[in-house]
Amino acid sequence: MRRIALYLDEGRLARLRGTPFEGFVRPMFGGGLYVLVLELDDALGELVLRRFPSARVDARGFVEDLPASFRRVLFEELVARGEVEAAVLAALERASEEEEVPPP
Amino acid sequence: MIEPHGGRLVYNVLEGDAARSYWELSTRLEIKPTLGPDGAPIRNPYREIMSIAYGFFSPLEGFMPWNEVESVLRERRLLSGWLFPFPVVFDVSEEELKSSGAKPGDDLLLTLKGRPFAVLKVEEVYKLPDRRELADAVFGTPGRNGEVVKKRFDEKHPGWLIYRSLKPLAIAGKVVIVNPPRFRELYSRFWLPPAESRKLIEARGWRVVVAHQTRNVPHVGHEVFMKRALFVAGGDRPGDAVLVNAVIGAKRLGDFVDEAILEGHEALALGGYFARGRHVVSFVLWDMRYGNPLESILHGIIRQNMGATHHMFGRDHANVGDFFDPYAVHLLWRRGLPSYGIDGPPHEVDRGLRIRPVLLGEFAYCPKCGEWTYLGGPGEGPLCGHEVERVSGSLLWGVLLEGLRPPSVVMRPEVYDVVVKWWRVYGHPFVSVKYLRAKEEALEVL
Repeated sequence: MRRIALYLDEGRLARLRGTPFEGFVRPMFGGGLYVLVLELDDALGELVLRRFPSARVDARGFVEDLPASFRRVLFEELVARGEVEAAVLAALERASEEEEVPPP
Repeated sequence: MIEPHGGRLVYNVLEGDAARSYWELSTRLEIKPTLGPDGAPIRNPYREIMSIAYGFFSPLEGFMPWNEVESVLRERRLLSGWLFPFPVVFDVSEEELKSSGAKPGDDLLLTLKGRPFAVLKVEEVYKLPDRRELADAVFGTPGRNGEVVKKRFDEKHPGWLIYRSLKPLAIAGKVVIVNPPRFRELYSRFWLPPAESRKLIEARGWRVVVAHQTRNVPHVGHEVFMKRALFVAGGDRPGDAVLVNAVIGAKRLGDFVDEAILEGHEALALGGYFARGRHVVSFVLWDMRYGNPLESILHGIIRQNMGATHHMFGRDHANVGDFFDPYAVHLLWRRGLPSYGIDGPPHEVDRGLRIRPVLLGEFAYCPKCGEWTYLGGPGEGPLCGHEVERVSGSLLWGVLLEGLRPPSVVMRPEVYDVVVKWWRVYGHPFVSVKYLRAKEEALEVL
């Protein structure tokens, strides 16, 4: 089992309302930030790791150091598809190992 | 004022006619970086020359001869007997040695970016042993140093890789800077070599100065750590000031950029989270060896030479990966590490350090208490009984890359603004391939 933690602010949280993920969101730091932990089976986790050589797995099974574009697209795909595996596969297709990340 | 390590502050910097007389030497060599397996620079010896000549590494005066390297590897001591954790060597290829014409007794002019920089007074030229074995001898092995080394070092460890990648020959001798380079803007603002930091400490009448090692933009946990350490060091009153000293050198992908680290710490004082004058930001040039307990000795030496009376050490100090025990530094400063030849705490052994350690465990945010709390270190329990939330590098990485503003209990808004400022400059909040290329080409000096 591999895990990916996606972080949410109030704006992103609002976009998850009414999706199957709403109930899995957990507040952090007194509510200033929220986290959604996605659970991936081993095969899907391996696909992610193979796609991004920079990624690594921490001691708790979380896949870390994922490119920003993947993280951002994954959130969009979750909202659109409402299903983890389909969202991860779609995000793997669309994301890139970017050199630049647009600032907020 | 605390005395420098070894009793005398090294200052091997010449200016004026005395310096210029060396500029025309025909025995000369351009300083080149150490390259990793992919050809990327992982160390630049110019940083070591700066730190030696300006006295950060006192009493070290130059690059070590072979018998001093052996002494350091055997018992982490210089030939003079003073504690020192790492071999510091000027490595060259056979071609470089031949083209320079350097031999014992010569003054070798070292150039940087084609310009005169420093003179190496050649005492010895020697062949380095197998560098893989040298790297193992520097950092240890689980078999020899099982008290703190948990896994065999390999190319994934950036410090081990530096020694592994050295060229086959070494030139030993005292170094003297004969053309002090000017720092680029921003670095020039934070350049506080030991002679200057001592003057500052003396002028302000500070008696308790606690050093903070950093290679990160500060989150609130770092700030809490610094403030708690001030109280611990001060005893019945808080200490006078925190001396933040960033290690500036070769970077790794995913690190925070140097500029954001320095200005991020500065933002804590500018934002009033530390009263002005109680928080000084500075840097030292050094390509981190990530030697954890060994690195903590070097950090103690550097900051003692800068005039700090105490040094804070937390979990995973100067650590990377899981090669060392997360609390190896505490073990060293509590009872020594005999397997490295250090039979007692570095500040209690003969010819050891005078700076005193402040050993603290982890801090984390407790949502129920609504504040940062102490989780404890080895043998200590947590301060509160609630479930807490840690601020890890991975968490900040995720939050920032997803374009979110960290909550103010995690990162001060003024610090976040600094991160975004440099994000706009470099196109990424963390060190990218583009940043690495630019940094090692330009260096910190003009």
